[in-house]
Amino acid sequence: MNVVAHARTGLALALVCLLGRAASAEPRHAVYVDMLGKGGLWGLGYEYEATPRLAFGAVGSYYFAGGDHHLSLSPYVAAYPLVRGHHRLFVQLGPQVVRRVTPSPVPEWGGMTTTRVGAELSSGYEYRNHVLVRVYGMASVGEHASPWLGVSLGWMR
Amino acid sequence: MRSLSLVALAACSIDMSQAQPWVPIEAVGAPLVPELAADPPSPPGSRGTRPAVTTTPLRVVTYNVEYGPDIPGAIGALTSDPELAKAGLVLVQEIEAYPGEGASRTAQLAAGLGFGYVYVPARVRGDGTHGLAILSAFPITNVEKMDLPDSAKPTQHRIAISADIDVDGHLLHIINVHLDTKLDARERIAQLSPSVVDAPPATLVAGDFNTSWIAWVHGIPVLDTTGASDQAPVVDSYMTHLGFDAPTRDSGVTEHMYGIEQRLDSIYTRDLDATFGGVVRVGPSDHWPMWLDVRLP
Repeated sequence: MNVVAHARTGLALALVCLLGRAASAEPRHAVYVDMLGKGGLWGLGYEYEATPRLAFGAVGSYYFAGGDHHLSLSPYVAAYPLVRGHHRLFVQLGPQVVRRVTPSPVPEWGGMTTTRVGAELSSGYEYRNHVLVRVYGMASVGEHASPWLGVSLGWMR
Repeated sequence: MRSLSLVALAACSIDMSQAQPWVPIEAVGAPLVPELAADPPSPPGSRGTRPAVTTTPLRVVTYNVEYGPDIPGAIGALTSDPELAKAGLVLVQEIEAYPGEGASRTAQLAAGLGFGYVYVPARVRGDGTHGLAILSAFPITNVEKMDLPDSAKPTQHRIAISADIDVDGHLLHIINVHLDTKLDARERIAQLSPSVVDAPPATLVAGDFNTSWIAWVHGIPVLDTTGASDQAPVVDSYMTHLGFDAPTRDSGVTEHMYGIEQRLDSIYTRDLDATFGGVVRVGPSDHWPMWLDVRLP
């Protein structure tokens, strides 16, 4: 009996180790491009999956419009309340910092730089299997409030 | 200063047309001929037909009437509210005139208020015109029009008009502007600058500056809700740099559309004793009329 018990224990440990290796082999780092989404127009994002249910990330964005420079950074924490294989439902929450630089087009004025902070709440569908695909809706709230949409495409390592 | 502005505009990377000089409205020809009835109707013992109008202080209103299809509604807004009813000077943006309507919408609005008026078209729209107007209980003189620089983007042509209002012997110089919608802050300053940079020291500038918080990138609206993209503080900064006060800086929103509210309208004063009054949420337009009081010397 002892031999059988030891064998079962050994098998269980081997299984745990195997699953652990398999789990550690799961890619935890994601790099992705946001279309619309957290950056407003577009963004480049990175995310680290701390556990299957929790991740941390950030999206940075820069665009140039009519002579104005818009720079934004949107860090966030992500929760996965529903996971089915490669398919997930996610919720992300975090602040957004936006800096707008308006160089002066005229000699009588020196231009203006403005920095403001808001918050963003996103939720949507995610497919995660070495590639990352997200489609989501979000609410952006600061001095104003607005709904918005986003699509993310990325890679995982 | 103006020539410096033109050089700077040419040198910078903004793709906008060249600023034009102020032109007396008498020199403006068809199809954008201005319409002027400089003196208000004057029954004995009153200013026009509006006995509530005073000069101490002079109440000034700026109001984008959203094409002005409902003139009785606009008249009702300006006469039924007790604060707006005291106005002696109304600067109107986005008003139109069509030959099939008999009198121009400006003439109809002025008649309803008992004011004199000037209507200056900016562009042709259908079989009519679209432009700016000044309505006044006091004589309107020295009216000039400026064609503002146009963006290379698909935008609409914009103008500014200036005039001197003869308020019991005191000349109040005013500039009425309507800037384009789909400009970003740098383009907006470039469009505004020619009309205000060489203004006389004592000047009131008012209108629809379209200072949106929405950034336009290749025609795509980007909604930055943090307020960093809000253009109203940029125009405030520019005007205060020119020595203007920004008494309507904290007015709150002046326009509402599709559930989005914005501060698009402002009044700036220089070398004038001005006190902000309020934004009155009345009328048929997507803008609300804004008023302030000016104490003339």
